[in-house]
Amino acid sequence: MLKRVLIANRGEIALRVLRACRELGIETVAVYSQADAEALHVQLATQSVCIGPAKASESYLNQTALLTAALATGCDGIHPGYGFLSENADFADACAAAGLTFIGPSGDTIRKAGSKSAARDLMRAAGVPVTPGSDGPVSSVEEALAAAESVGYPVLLKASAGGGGRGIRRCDNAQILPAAYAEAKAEAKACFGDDEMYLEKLVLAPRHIEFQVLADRHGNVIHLGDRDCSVQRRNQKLIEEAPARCLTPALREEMGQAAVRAARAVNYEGAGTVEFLLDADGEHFYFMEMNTRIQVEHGVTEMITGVDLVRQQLRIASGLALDVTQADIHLEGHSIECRINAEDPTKNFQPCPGQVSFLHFPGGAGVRVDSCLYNGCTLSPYYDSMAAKLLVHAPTRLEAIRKMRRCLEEFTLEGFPTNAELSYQILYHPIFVRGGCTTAFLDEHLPELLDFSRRVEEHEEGV
Amino acid sequence: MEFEKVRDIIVETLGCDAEQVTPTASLADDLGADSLASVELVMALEEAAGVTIDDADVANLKTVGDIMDYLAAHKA
Amino acid sequence: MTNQEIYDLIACFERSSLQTLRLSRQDFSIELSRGGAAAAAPAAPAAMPAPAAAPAPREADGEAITAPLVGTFYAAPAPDQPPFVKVGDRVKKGQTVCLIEAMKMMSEVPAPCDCIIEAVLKDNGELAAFGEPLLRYKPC
Repeated sequence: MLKRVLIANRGEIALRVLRACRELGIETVAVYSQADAEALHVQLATQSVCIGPAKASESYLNQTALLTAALATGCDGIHPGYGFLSENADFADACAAAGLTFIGPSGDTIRKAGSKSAARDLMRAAGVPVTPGSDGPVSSVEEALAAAESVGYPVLLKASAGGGGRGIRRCDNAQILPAAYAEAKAEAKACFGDDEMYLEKLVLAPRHIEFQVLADRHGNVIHLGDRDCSVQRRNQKLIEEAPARCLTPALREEMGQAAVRAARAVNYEGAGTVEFLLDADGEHFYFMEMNTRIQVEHGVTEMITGVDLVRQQLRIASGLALDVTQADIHLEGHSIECRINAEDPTKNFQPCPGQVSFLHFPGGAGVRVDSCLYNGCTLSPYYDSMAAKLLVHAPTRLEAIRKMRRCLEEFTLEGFPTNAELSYQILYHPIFVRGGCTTAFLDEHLPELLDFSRRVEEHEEGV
Repeated sequence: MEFEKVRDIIVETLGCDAEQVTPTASLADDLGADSLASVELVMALEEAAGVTIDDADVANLKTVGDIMDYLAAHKA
Repeated sequence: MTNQEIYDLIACFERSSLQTLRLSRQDFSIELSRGGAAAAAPAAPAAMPAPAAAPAPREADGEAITAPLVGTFYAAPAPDQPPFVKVGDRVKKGQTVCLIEAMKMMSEVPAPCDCIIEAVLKDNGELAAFGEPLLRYKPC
């Protein structure tokens, strides 16, 4: 087994990894920036080392500092968590070169799965359905027009090196394609220094369904069911659920096998997520991308399968075979996660971190809270604004919704505004309750949701 | 699904008394179900009966009897 | 941090279930750790890897030269050579007082001003955290 793991991350995922290590008897080395000196996981780790100033590029993204700290403290493994360097192929290679086990796939696999167009070709070859589009890049307007013709409008013009919604233009007809093509190409050049473009059919009002996979070094690959992350705003997920209510058992089986084939296609190792777009007809699904890391919302899969995914990452990285087979995986009941962010939805979700003057987390049967907050701590402004994750599990989706409502009522955080109230309103919205949310839900209903919570506040003040 | 099972689901989801749940009882007037509560009741019935109730049909489920007839006509 | 605050800290550490508590301020750091019998001690004694008592900060208050990056502290240019500076030495602004090695790359740490070295706080080959005091000096 791994003996001592450096946790190259911060916040709740650092604490999550530390806990899994502790339960496996693996020692932990926490690294922190000067802004995180008082962080909870820094206090709980076997040893902790300050590696840089607050700025992420000089601390959590500083590969030399991370590798130096790991080697100097006698670590044999590095866990990258999510975000930061978790999907940085060069860092994965640098760890291997320094004789450290990068807890995740190899740099090569990350590159294969990471580049959008390379991944599409691999998936097509592995029999994983991909959104119809141009085979490889479209290097001129004429090529783009031809590809759009064969695929059928509306289409998306996308940068191969794209990500986070940059270098993408929607195109509903041939007339506007030339201008859209030029714009997207320029933006791609500016953002990624690489203006290679490709073209994809635009799936309208799709569902965002992702599958959790686990793969070890002995050829075992399994999937652990699906998650529905449709409640999101500008690609930022807000509420995630497992399993996705809109999948029939047959479709779940078919998509699950496709996810396993996708993982094999890039000889995946560790815990990963295969993201699909499910067409509004609820039958056609298309590979979208693969995330080569543990995800923020991994907890909902853990709650319905009973499998500790971070523990599995540590076992796999230690060379052990999976101790669960596909037959062992059963999706029991329903799980929901609400991400609590330090942001003010009434001020266009402006992040507003600060000090926690009072904190109370909900508890009780079927409730889990993943957070690095403690009474009196300060949420620093240098990193992302996620303060906590509330998760619930119950035999049915309706009971899970009602349990989450209770948890949000009980949840108390004084010191800075959060989106807890907004999530609370969503849990009472008929479309959400009916399970009808698509990725467009939040943007379309935000005014209505915010208006409702404002009226509730006025009512409470009036009482 | 037998009547007792449907009755228990209604009691649990709407928070009403078992005695009130008779075939002729109206969900809104007698059992106090507002629009959201009836959406939740439909969800609970779907999960228990393993069927999907089309949104169009939901509007026609006014009484307990309507629910019984619908479930009898739409086996899992 | 006054003595009373330290006693309070120790008291509340006792009551907590924390194994170690480490608090660092600008010029002061304290580390408390729970030694002795752990609740369900596994076969091997639950030796706490963190040092039992926090190393008392070496005396001499003066300002400190801190580590500009995390790495291994070296007092001398090479193992067989004398250290760059010793306590009492007078050094010029910019003069190298020690090295920090990170992934085989040596960085020279300069004296921030003309000064006299009052204390060397790190041992040769010891890990230095970012911002950690390495040497104390008195400007002159």
